Amino acid sequence: MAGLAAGRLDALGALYDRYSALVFSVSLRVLYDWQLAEDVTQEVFLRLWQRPESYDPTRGRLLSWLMSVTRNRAIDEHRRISRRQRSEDEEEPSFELRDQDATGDPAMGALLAESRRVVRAAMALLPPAQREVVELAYFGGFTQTEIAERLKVPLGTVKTRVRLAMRKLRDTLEAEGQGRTP
Amino acid sequence: MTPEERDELLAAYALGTLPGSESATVEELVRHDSAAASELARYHDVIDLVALNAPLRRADPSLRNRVLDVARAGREERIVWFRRWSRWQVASVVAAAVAGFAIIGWGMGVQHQLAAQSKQNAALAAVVEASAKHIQQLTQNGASAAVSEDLKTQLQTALADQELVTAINADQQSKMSVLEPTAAGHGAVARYLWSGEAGAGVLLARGLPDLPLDSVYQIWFDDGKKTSSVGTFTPDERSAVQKVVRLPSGAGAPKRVSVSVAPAGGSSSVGRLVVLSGAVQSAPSDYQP
Repeated sequence: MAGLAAGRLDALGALYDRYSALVFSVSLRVLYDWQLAEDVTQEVFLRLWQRPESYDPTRGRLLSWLMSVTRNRAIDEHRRISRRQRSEDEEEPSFELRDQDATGDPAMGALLAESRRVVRAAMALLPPAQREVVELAYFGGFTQTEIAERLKVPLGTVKTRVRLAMRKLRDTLEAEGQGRTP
Repeated sequence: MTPEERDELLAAYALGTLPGSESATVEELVRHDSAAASELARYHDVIDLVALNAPLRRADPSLRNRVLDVARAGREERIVWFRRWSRWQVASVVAAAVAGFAIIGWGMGVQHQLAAQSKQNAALAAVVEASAKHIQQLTQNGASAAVSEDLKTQLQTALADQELVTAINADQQSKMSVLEPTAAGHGAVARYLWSGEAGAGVLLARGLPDLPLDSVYQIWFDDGKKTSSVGTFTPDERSAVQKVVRLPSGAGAPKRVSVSVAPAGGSSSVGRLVVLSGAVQSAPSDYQP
């Protein structure tokens, strides 16, 4: 990040190599459109390049910041183009990368692979109904009311599922050293 | 509010599923309740990691270069404002390069162009050499190494482009093609001069339509097997451009050249908004404008 603040293009290149697969994957998961996902990926890295101060290291890890910015930007884009018509069982783009192929930095690749393993395990621990609301909210950008309408369940049920899922995720991930130490 | 209701609100807020009115309640709560603020921060840390549950994909490899190209262009702008001394210096070099480009294509004979360009190249090389020394001095006097390096890169790029233009002009087998405007590009006039020997060409266009906000024009080569992006540009204040275009590694000679409107930084595919398109001539052009 210091290299980025100093305006070094090689630092941007290194960050891109390290995180672009993750940024692109999240964009694609939200948008289901390769070109739009690339546009969002480009915007995220250029934002970091143009305003490196927008990431404050005291407020969390760069990975978390990137994921948050990417997801928000992708959801904005999703809403803007009104492509809410896709169904959850729509075929996903093929060819999933292996974790070790996601970054050009082997050490960072191992760290990310470990984080991904922990997060996926934590998600897998959630009951399917709770996992569903988290994914609809996180990747779909749906509000609780929209989720209730979509799943045809009472709003109170969605609220409860969100609360239980978030609490369980938080406890699991913090226990694995992935969240913030309480 | 019960602890359960409070937790429900914080969790939903972190997940981004609350409507505006309830979001305002949470924001008010965390402003006055440090424990709630701390809880919310813990939820935020967790929720950002949910992204890692997405299946891993890789973007088109060309995206990396597009990102770096846009960043490079942006950095030039930042550097200009960072150091006023570099502003006029870069401008003078770029002006020399642009002056070199300006003689091609519209209204001059080949020999005249070549002679004029040789002079321009010599002048530009002298400017580059003098500027490089000046940059070195500035670096020794404390200027940022990154700034100096960037200026050198700009100078070298300007010179390399200028030399390519000369090589394209000198190639007797160069092919001049006319790019026809589509309905979206109505009023534009464009030619493309391609040299197989130089592995590069020059796009000349004028009368280009105004670009939408945050958009660029993107140039595409179609070699009959695939379509490749070969660069982006924004027209000058006269809605014109003269752009040196290099053949991408591994790509065949272009059979068709197109220009489309793309988001800033370019796109991975041609898209629907093509403004110019034309087949590249197979026979050498006599090249008289």
